[in-house]
Amino acid sequence: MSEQQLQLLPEQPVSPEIRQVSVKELPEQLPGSEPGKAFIQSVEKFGILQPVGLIESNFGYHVAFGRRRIKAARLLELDSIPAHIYPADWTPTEVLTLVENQQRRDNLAAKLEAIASLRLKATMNEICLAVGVTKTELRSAIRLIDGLIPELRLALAEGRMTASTAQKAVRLAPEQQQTLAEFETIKGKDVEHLLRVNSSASFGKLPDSLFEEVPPTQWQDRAENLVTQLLEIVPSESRYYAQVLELATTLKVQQETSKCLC
Amino acid sequence: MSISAIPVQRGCGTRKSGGVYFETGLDPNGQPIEYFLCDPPILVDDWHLSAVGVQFIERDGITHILDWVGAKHYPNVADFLEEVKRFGLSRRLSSSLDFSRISARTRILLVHQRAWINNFQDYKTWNCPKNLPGHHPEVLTQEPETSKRMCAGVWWGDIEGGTTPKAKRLDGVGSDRDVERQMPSFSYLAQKRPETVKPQYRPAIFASFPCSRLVVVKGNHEKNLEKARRANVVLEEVDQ
Repeated sequence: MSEQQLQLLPEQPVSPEIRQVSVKELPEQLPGSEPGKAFIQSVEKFGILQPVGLIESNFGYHVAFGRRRIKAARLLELDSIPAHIYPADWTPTEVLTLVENQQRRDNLAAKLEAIASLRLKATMNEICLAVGVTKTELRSAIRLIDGLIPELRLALAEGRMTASTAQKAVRLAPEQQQTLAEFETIKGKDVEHLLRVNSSASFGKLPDSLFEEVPPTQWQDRAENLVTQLLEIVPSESRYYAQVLELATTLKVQQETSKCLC
Repeated sequence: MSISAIPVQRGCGTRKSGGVYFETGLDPNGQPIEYFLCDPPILVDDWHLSAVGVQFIERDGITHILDWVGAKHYPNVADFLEEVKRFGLSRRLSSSLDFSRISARTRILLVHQRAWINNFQDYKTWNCPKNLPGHHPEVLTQEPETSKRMCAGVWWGDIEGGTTPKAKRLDGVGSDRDVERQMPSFSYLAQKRPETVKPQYRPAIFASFPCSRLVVVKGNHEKNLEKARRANVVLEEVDQ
């Protein structure tokens, strides 16, 4: 086990060669998600800011990171893109993929700060188009900007609260957020506890009528019995007979067409 | 034999093999659908509910189910209610639920994204499904902004996706807003939204239905049947 682990680690760090690589030289079949519309528009407008990561071998390149960027470049028919080229036997491609992913983790606090500032100068559409985020992503970020008290935004920036916990905490009232802000580490379960307290309070205010037992009606049966009795009492030659007959017919028709719920 | 809903293709599709469904069945001696409506609807936009799946809620020691009816399959609240009126209620429950919490006293509370319309007065006319005197358009449209209620009748006057009706209304009361709304297994007549109105929707609870029975649709269903057996209600296996 330990021998295998050692093989995953490079013997020494290397400085990758940075150069433009022809898109045609890159593998056509790349796993992973397709680039979204906003992402493609961003590449179109700004180009590829962060070079992709390739491992060079005798048979061409292995893509370690930047698959969506390559796909977007291909869709936009770009000739070449910037790339970091690593030597073939330095470390397995998969390791480089995971390490890069780990190092490139979303810095939510920085992102929120930038969006909060941009929002004062541009519309949502303009920001989405320029930055390459979807409206949903932007709305989610704005919800955090508007919904978190400054102390919790600080906790997010300091890493005392994760992004997923922040998304939950935004649903709490400011005074409840204040309570959380005093914790050294703000955990998801603490936020969930407060949310449950809120939900219980809301459910308690629901009107009793929503939960009452459903009373049986049986009105059709009773009405039909009465009309049947009327038909027996009222002489058929009476001018009322036709009306009672009509009522009986209507009731039966209603029973067949107007269904009721339990 | 238990009171059951009718298995037809619904707005959200057909029942899936192995699925567990909460049913409110049809019964000639039962209450009409209007009895189960929340009129006015109850706002839940500050509850921060998830618009996906169902959620248990506790009240006086009884567990109830909160279920969000998706606007994707039922863009109009009336679409859903008209379907329930004809075929009874059938809602899928996640097999990961703790079924032991479901009892005969469990209600399913339904939420819809468009159940509350802030500017409902702009619709001018509606018929209150519960015939509540205070819900008459002449009364409700005069209410101050600060204490606005809403009438569920507006749901039938806010229809999207309807077509010109093939037949005239039997009651002879016609309007250029009349539309026929086609659903997978039936159609109904209602009215489209007035052209000048831009609705301001808010999610709200629009109905509360009791549980007639739970059903499990046959076909690779043994595991879920076992889970659903923990519920304290009538449970049946059905073909569809």
